[in-house]
Amino acid sequence: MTDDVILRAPAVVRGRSRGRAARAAASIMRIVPIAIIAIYVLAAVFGPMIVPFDPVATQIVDRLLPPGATTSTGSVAVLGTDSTGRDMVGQLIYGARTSMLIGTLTVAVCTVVGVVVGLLAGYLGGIADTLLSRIIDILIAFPNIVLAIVVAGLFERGVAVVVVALSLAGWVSFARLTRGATLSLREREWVSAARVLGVPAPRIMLRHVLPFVFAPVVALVALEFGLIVLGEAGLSFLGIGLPHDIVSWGQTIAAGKAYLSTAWWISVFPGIALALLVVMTGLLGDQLNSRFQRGGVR
Amino acid sequence: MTEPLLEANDLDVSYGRGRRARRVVSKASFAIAPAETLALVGESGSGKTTVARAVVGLVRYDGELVFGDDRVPLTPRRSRELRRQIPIVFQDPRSSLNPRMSIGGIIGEVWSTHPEIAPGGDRRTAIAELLGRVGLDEDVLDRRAAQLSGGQCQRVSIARALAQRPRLLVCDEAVSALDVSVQAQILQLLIELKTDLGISMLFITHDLGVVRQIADSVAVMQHGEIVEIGATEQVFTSPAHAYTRELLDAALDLVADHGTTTTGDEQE
Repeated sequence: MTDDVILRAPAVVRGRSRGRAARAAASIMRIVPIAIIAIYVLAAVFGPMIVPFDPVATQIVDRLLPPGATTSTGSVAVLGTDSTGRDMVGQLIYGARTSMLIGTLTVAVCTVVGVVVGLLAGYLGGIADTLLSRIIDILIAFPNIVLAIVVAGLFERGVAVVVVALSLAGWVSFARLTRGATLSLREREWVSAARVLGVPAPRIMLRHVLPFVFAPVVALVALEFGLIVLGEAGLSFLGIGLPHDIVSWGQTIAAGKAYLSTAWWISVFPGIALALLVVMTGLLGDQLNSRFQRGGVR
Repeated sequence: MTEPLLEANDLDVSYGRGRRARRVVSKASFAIAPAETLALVGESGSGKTTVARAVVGLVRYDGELVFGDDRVPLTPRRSRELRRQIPIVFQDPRSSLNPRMSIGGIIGEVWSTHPEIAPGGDRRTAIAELLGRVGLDEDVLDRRAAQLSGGQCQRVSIARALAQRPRLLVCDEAVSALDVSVQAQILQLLIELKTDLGISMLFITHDLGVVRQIADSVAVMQHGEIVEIGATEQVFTSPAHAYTRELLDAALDLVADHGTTTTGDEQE
């Protein structure tokens, strides 16, 4: 019997170590998106304190310097400079700040509007639901970015206009998600019990439905954040987004377009920064989604 | 006979609208006197739960429902005062309680919704007292439904109903999801409440053994219609309708299989 244990032991150990490696890899994959997003957030919040940068100051003698070159002031432009001599690192950091600001504001507006509309449509049903659902259907059929372009193009450039333009279509996915969740939650017995008790509808929605919609909404917040950052960059790339005195990755990419063959770094670095952020928010959203689906609403 | 507390005349309930409408309950008529318990029995799909949902105002109905001296509105839009007087205890003990709220919060909600019947003095003490009435310890107050057993959850549901100071308690398969021993305890509790407080009950069940213990009268439902109604003893000893006989025979077979016999009145 003792022999048996000894003979079998190595296999068991190997099996366990493989399991541990897989688990370690999985836990690293869980950390990566949140860690990278945290770096973006830190750069956006604290970066400007460390890297001094004036978005409207130009240094003509330092224009189009490649990554690693020394500027006229003696500092090193780690990621090069653009066509007016502005440092690329500074542009990336200020661009991150802009993306975070627009992303946060827009997602906040979309979440509040979407959740309220979804709750009302799902809980009240009837004409309210039919009406709101048709509006949602129409907006879904319409490409988000086209709607944003139309609205942003009609008004003076500015942060508020960009936020409104992106929110106009962005709330729809929140509304659809919330409505679906509310429709099934409405039939749960604790909701019926509250109705029989005579609890007013607004309080039922707040107390007995909303807390259970929260988890999937958080996952959607992460997913939508990336898409909205991408949308803002798109508008700024087209020149109908933010004004020139606000640094935006989209504008930087557009400005570097003319120099793609000679000074690739102007477009490529903000492009990478943007792509990485969007992919990571997407991954984070998926992770949250699967986590909530496993242990979510009981 | 005294003036009934609840009277249903030709109650119809349909689900769906227009051409897709499906009638689930048709022409159901019954009456419940004050302090009387009416059991509504029938197989699943016979429409008995739908009757309960119409009585407590969860679905729209047609026909006439009179509670006390007033006609109950056809749509689920009814006054808070009316809702207060007719609570319901559902079948699934756990999911009738909001999983994010403490038991104290769940019972407290009754009094924040109906401040006119809220007890004076300390709310916590009042809730603890009520929990004691249904056989629960005070320490349940801060727990959530997930931390309680099925029987305890059902006691909380009953306490919530009692907090409303009801005149008619609707029990929709309230003991069906529980173990036999817990079932007996909850049933005992309901019988105590009925005799002590004189609350009328509409008791929905498919279990004839339970009916025997709690009901004063029985209505038998089949395919959405009430096929027989009468005093419990009368229906059990001399069933008039073929379907009732069928139900009773099936129940007796079950009893025989379990090797236990109920007292008296067995059909041959």
